[in-house]
Amino acid sequence: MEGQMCNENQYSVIGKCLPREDAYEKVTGEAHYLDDIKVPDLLIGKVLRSPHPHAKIVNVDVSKALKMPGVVGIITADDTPRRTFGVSIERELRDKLPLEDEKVRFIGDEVAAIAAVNDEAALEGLRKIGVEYEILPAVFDPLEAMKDDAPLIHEAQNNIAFSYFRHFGDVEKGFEESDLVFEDTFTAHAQAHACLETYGVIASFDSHGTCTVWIPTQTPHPTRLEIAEALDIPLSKVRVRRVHIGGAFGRGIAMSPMVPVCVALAKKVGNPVKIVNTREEEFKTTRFRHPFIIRLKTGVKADGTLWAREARMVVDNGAYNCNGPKVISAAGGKFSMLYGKCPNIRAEGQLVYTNKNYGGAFRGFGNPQMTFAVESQVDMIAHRLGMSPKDIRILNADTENMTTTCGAVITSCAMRECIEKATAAITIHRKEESPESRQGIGMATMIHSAAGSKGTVVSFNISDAFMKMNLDGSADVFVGASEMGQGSMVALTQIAAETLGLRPEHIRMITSDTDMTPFDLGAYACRETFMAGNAVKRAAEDIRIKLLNAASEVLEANPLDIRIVDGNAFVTDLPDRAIPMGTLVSVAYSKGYSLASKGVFVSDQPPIDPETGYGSYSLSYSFAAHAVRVEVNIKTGRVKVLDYAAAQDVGRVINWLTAEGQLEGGAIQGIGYALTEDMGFQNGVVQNADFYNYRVPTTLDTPRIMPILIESNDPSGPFGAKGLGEPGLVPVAAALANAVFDAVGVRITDLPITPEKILRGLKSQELPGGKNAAPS
Amino acid sequence: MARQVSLRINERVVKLKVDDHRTLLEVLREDLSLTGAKEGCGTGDCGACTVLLDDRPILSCLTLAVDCEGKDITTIEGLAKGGRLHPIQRAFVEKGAVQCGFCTPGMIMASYALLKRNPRPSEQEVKEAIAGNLCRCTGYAKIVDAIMEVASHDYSMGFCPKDT
Amino acid sequence: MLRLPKFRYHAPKTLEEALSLLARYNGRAKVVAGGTDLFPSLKRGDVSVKHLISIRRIEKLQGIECLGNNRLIIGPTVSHEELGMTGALPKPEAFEGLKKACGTLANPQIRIMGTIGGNICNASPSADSLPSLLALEAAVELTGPDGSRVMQIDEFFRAPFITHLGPAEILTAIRIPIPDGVCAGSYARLPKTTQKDETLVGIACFLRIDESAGTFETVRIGMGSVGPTPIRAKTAEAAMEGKRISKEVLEKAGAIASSEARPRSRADYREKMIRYLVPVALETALGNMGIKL
Repeated sequence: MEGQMCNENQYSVIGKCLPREDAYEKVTGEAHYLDDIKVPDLLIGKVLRSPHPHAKIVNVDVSKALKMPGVVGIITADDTPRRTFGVSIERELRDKLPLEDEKVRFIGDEVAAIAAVNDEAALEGLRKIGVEYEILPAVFDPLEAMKDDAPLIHEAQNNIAFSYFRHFGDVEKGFEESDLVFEDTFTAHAQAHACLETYGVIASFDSHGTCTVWIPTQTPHPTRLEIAEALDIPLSKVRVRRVHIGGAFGRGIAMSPMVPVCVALAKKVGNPVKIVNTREEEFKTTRFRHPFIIRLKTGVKADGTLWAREARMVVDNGAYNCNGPKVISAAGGKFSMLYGKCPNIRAEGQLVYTNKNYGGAFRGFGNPQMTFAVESQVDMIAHRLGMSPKDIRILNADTENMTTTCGAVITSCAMRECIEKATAAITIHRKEESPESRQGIGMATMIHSAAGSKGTVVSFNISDAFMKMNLDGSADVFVGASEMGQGSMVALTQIAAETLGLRPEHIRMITSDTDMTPFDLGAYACRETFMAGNAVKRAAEDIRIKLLNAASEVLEANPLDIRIVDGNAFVTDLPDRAIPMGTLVSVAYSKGYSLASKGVFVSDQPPIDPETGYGSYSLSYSFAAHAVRVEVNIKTGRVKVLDYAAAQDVGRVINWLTAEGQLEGGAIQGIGYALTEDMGFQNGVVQNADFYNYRVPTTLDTPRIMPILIESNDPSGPFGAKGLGEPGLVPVAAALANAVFDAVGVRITDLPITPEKILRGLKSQELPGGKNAAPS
Repeated sequence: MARQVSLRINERVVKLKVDDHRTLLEVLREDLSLTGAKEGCGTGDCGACTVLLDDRPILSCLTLAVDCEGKDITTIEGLAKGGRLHPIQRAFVEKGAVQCGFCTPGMIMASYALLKRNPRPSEQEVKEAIAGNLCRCTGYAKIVDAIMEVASHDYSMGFCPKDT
Repeated sequence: MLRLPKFRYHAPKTLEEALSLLARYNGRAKVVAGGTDLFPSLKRGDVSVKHLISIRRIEKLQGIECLGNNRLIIGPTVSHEELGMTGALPKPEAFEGLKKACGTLANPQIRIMGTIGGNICNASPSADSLPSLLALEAAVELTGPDGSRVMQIDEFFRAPFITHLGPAEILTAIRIPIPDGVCAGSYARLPKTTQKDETLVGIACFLRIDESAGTFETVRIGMGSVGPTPIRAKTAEAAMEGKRISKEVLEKAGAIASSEARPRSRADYREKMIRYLVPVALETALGNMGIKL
């Protein structure tokens, strides 16, 4: 496939095409995911969910169900301390109980749970749990839900769950000073994670009352805290073990209610319990990407300088908060930072409750929706001004070492290079498939965090790492960071190997157990490479110094003159007198050196101003530009994606294969979002609740993808690297919408891009006043 | 409704008592602890349960275990021999075709079935062969690369576990 | 794990045995070949069964045979893959559409497991093989305890997923007359979204031309996924027969065919796509005879 060759650089391990450390067990089928784990005396749990979108729970009768054969126990809200949970948001915003007791607020809301000896017994028993509901009127549309007379979903004045507002400069004055002002509305729809593995959890109490919980989690340590808080269990009695994860993309960040439910069920029945979603439950009851309505008002100068920018968002929260407040805030933040030189910026929005399943974290976290709007409008503006899409972006692009109007401190930034390289990659003209085909090229850019951001309740962004040497010269690294398939572990291995001078195969990452690892916020907001990478680098540096000191005694040389390469220590230019690492470790111990070390890395920026929102929430930012060539059939309206170039500023490539993999995977996931995926909400229920109806791209839907990795050498990232997982998806929808416009002159402002919308757009061009109107 | 069946899995004969309604996927995962084949959907839409029946790729979630008597079943666990990876497995590792890995066993079995019949497929034929296997992580690019890499070598003399 | 409900499994080796089992467990039994449609339905609880009668081992129901040189007999348990790849057909151009439909539908695993008989009995309005069977004027042989009867395929479908197959009957053969003359078939489809999605519009055609006159002699157009059952566009066919071969005639046929459709969803788009796809299918069939417009 397209992509540059692995790096020729000054490093021995950084920048190489190293296979990931868990690839062997994954290709042999030995890797264990949640449903593969065998636990003795395991019972099967199932959750009873509300069939109504909005109802009072009048009564729950479990007596008949308890008598069913094979049923061991049932829990309701009575078996829990009735605490709302969620470390992603402030306490006052937490609104979800593991099991609801007074009201249900969406079809699928958790009401009770049953444990039985097998699936069939659990399902039979579930059917016998009698719940009496008093049905309430429901509201499914956020604009309807915002009205004064809408049914109230939570105890509150209205259904506005959260409001966001930021204003920098003076946008009203800015609009007056602008030569042209554009107002456009965009809608971005929901997207399901559709991971190949469905979510599941196993909980098991031991005789000391400690609960071990196996979860496909991206955030073992925060989740540990969430479980403890939700069920009022001491933190020391909760152990979270991460298993191999069959896809995440944000699904594994916030704890699902299934987790505390499973723990409470295991406690009640005294046996380990496993709850695993069916694919239908996965589509209907797990989190997904929030739908957004975005109104943009943008003032520009005649030369294309963006002068005043305003975004107004209405975000469909669904029935509960989860990550909603952070998603709307993140979208507002990204809006403010892209083209961050613009002196006048206002972003505001309402997060609105509706009686549907609720959204959560999904790759991009509000940015894909916002970028679709912003980058579509930038193209529309360019078109009106007679500027090329590339030139208007180059003019307004973020640059290195600048502070944006909203206070984001940008250090490394290769935005312009991304734009140049992405557009340069889409030049080969292709022969049109038929006389009805029209080709077009489109582009889009984006900004994203590359070093995470501060948590909310856990209001710090920190990674801790431990390291130790073994007598055979190998090293073990302990991090609370999480691997979900994105390749964080191999990257950390390479960072440790490069720093220490060991071969990667002599470094072991121990990561999946909160008992054994120090605190880490987890894998999200692209933080692992940067934060955990820096912590690991420091831990490795600490050990390296100790090893060099020990070696200096043996080699009778200055430590500064000693090198460690491939696990051998020697004086520079005297490689024949080398000490192998195993020997060096023994020597170091005999001389009283400790070879256990730690490294910590904390994001120590000044806090964001709580009044104005001014400040920088990440130590580093990533940038990307995508360019795409599409072919649109003007008879069928179908869009074929031919060539896709994703150029991304990653600071430094740690692992070429995994870095490219993130760009390639993100592009296809973005193509799915823009063109083929539609959950099909109707009356509060997902209609497309299986892979037959929810269409994830297959090999036959993929274009030629060219991942372009650009190194801007971040001053704070480990070896200059920054996080890179999310951006691959962020600009895709905008790039495609822009390409469709270039091909056929139809501007799609509401996702997904469908053949019918394109044909309608083509038809309106033929009407009087339209582009292709017959002369009157 | 249980009956004795004799199944030949990865060249070993296994005798089991199996209920008529149990799928091959259930029996592999639950009775034989061969958890490589995965349930991604249970209804035949994702390909994660793909194993081989007489060298043909099939969906084990829609196949009755009792229907497999007398046939050769090959699962992902049967590809590597004595710790040595099969060339497809090695290519997946080296080309970065594995991210979360959940689709990987099914993907490899579908690729294996293709290369057994057609050792020199075109890129389009490779894509057709794995069109029934969904992947959410990789975008398929490196998976296709890995299969094409194996296809570019001459394995005519020793491609199957039996031969190497 | 999504599981099947409990049932008893039977694998008879003869048709007589299968029929007798079906009669004995009347109302509680279903016949199964590949299971690619039945098993998901059972798992979802859409249908229930206590006895499953697999007909896969019955030799009489396997294989593709030419009778004389004028009739093709296809066993119901022939897989899509086998039908798509078969080289055993006389007048292969006539069966191009059927072969293409079976050889490219869904994905390799489904093509290997699924059968033509299963596809017909499942009677999904969007099934890819059915339009070609209509265009080829196939007939189905249905065998019950009292013997066999033959039914034309376009009369066999009653409603979505409902056929005239009696509860004690088994589909035992698909019979297709082997056409003579200068003829060819084709199949063109548009998926709903992704390439391998369910078919949104599927057009199969069979054309026989009068070479010397340069006219359409026989025209049959089968349309799938544009009504509650697959249908023939008979008005469009009649409008074409006897006319000189030209692009205009194809376009006109597309317009007429689109008015014969009865789509239940996305009607406007489907009608536009019929108008687009019918000429494509017709032109491909002409191409299969070596005729370029």
